[in-house]
Amino acid sequence: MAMNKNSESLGEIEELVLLAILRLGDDAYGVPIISEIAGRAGREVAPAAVYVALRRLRHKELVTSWTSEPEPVPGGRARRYFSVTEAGVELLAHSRQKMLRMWDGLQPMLEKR
Amino acid sequence: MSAGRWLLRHTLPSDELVIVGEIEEMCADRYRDARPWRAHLGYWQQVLALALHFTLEKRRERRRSSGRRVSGGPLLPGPGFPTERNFTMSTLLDDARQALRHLLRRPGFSATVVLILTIGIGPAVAIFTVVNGLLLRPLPYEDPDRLGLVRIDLSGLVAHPGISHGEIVDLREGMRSAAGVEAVNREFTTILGEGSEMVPRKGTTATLGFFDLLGVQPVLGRSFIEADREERVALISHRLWTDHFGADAAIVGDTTIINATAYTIVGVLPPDFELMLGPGGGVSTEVDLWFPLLLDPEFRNFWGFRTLVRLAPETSFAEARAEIERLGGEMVRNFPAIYEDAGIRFDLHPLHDDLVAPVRPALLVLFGAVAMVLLIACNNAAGLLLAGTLARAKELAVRQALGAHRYRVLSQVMIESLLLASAAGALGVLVARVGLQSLLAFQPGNLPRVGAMVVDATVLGFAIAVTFLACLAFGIIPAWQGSRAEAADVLRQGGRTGGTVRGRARNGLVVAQVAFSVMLLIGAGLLIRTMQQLQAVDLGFDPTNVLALRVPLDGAAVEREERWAKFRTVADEVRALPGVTAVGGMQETPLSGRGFRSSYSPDVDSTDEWNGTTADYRWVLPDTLEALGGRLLAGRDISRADVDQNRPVAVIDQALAADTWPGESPIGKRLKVMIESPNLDPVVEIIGVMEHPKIIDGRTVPMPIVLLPYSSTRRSEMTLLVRAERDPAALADAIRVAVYAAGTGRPVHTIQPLDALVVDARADARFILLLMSTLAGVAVVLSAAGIYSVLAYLVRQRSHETGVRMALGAAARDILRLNLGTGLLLAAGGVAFGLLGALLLSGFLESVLFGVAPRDPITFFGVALVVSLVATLASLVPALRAARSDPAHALRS
Repeated sequence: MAMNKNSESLGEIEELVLLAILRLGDDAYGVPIISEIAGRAGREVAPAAVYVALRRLRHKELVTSWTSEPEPVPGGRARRYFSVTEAGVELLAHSRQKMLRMWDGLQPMLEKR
Repeated sequence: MSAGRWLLRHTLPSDELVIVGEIEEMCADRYRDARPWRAHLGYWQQVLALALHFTLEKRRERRRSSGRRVSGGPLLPGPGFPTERNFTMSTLLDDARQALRHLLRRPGFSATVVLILTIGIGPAVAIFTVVNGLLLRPLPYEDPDRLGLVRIDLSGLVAHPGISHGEIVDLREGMRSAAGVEAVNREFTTILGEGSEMVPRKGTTATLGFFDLLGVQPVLGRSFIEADREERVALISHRLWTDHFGADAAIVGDTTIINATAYTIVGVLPPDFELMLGPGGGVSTEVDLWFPLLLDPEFRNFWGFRTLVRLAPETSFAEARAEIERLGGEMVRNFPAIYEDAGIRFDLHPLHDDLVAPVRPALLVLFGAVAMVLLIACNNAAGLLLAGTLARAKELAVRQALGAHRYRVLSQVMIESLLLASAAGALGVLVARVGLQSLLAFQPGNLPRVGAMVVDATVLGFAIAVTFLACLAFGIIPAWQGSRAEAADVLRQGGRTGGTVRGRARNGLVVAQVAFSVMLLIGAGLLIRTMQQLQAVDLGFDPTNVLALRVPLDGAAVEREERWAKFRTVADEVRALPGVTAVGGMQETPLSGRGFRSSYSPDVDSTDEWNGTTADYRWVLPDTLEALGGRLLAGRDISRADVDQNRPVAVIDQALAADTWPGESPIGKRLKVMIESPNLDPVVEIIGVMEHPKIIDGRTVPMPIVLLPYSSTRRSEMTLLVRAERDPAALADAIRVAVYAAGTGRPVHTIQPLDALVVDARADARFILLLMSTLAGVAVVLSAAGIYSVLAYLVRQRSHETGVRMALGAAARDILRLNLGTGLLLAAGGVAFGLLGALLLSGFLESVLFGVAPRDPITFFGVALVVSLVATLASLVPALRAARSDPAHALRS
């Protein structure tokens, strides 16, 4: 299994960041990732926490990154784009399975309350 | 944003720098419609969060890569730990965190150091606020550095601030170096309103261009214009506009009754406008009404008009001064009858310098005093920190032995100092704000520009600078000593002694503290002696149980006789009140202003208007000497018959008598007074000689005083002096009613007990004394605490040695002597240096002292004694503790 060295589980923010990158596709860099999490999960995450999570994910080789050329406008900035590696996708799937298994059969109990 | 970028570049890992641009993009987007301050705040929030997150993250990564957790803090080296001098933001942040943790672990110690430093920084910031308001902030006029006040030396007067109409006109026409010459009169009391609504308010007159010269524009209406020459118009203060006219904008153009005459209000001056003239300026901040002053070029023998000059572009005060002196010479040549014997000399003083000149010496003395307290406080804090560092000597030495670089140790101890100093700096500014408010509530004499004494950016800058300097002053020695700890030495000694070098540093600190305390105490002592001397001054009159009140007459009484009849009725009505023992009156309230000054001559045929003599003339009602409690040495007081018949008589003081007729009785002699007045026969007969009453300022004997009967003037306002059997304040209401019943037509005002005026006249000396005593008290307590803490520390360090000595047979007495001796030696050194310093510095105090020499031996000796005593007590406690210690216990510990 490719998860041998990253067998530790994902933190909540790391998981949210990975999912946001998958959703954003080719447009996944810091700013939209933060907005995606805020918009879809309704979770205001500190940008600093997202950038630290991105760094950790990179070190764990769950994402790869490349830096773009500065935008061809005055004051245009370079951006670092991310995509989820195979190991990352695998870990997400694993995490999802784990959660689904944990949820299994609990739905009626929630509805009762 | 560049500071934010800088911070991020120094905290983010090098492969994450792309975040710098992204975060800016995000903030630009997020705060597009926000206010600039909100956008800045948001940006900095992100920057600081990133810096913090990544600093912690890098640390985590370091630990993870080394495979173990480092728990001893950054001073303990581990793999990846910088042992060289490679400071980065992250090591500094680490050190700051470590230092903070270290300080918080010892809250008592930290709070003590912060408290001591606050005691030093607070007063320094407070006094600097005063210095800033008075000396550093420019005057609130347009281009204030180009404004000057004309002062003259004339006859006996030196640097007199007023000149005459004719002279103002001459200066206007003659001064090439002036862009404008405008004048203002001394303030006088006006009565605003009519009937039962009448209120006294201060007013004055100013030339038409006066406000333009200052660059002051009314907030409503206009300033004076040429057309006002023909009209009765007035400008009013913002205070009067809000208090009296309910801030009604329609008041401009309206008429109001002032001194029973209708005046048109043409403008309202700005709320912060304040005319600031130097000593003797005669225009207080209470002036509410301004009338046009029209100059009469022929009017040349009344020097009462304060004249401001605005320098023309490209000219200097030196040029203007030379020109004004030359013009003065021309006037003397053109009007020999007026000037020849008087020897007039014109001078031009820069307005700001002129204003602050009288308080500058006292202020500099106080500034020196707070600087000393600050030094003592820093010194004291250094002593504590040094003791703290030495107590940690073993720990620091071990860290260095294990590879922590010496500069890291130095940096951590310095950061500790900086944290302590910053807390003290912030508290100090608070203390200064609160303290200053309470100080100014004491109404420190005639301190000008009180409104400008606020904590502004300059003061904050000063506080920050002082904080950093204090941090350096008290932090550097402990940091240096801590970082020098040689591991082998410290470990070998079991961390017991601080070594000779460190001991010397500590002793030096104590000696310096004691020396500064001695200097401050001598300053305070000299001021206490000054106050004693001032209180012992024989005023030449008795101010107790005397009430002084201003009594104006309305315009109905025009002629001299009518006015005198009114004042006579007033005196009779008031005299008839129960408890009143005497009633007199004078044209100026004693201790509140000068009388009319002019020359006199025993040669009754003299025609010189000025001959080098000057007296202070006071027109008085009958029985004034009795009401004032003055002492008649020969002859009699001015009587009611003298005034009724307008007899040409005068009462003089013994100084004038001894000067003019040495060895002779002046009674019956004739004196010519150089005053032109239609009612005054200039040749008067001396009917009485009194002891000089110090009614000018209660201090000095500047010039003779001559009393003339009221009948030779036609002043419509006098100060009534009412002597009572008991506290006359209780009579104030009855007197007010009695005066009004006498038909003056105007309300009395400015009712003051005479003894309160005496206290006021000494307010400046008392204020400086209060401050100096407080500072000296703080200094003594701090330095006693310094001696105590150093000796206590020494005793603890020596406990092993003491144990050995006692085990070898030393008696408790010997141990006591040894330790007490050390304390006393330090104190003696401090006292010696302090006395030497005081000898060198006490000259600066001379201008605020009265009746005591700056090197007064009694004060010097007394202070040396007091400080030695305090030092002995401070040394005794730890010395006794050492002598009583158990040798077995000491050896084991």
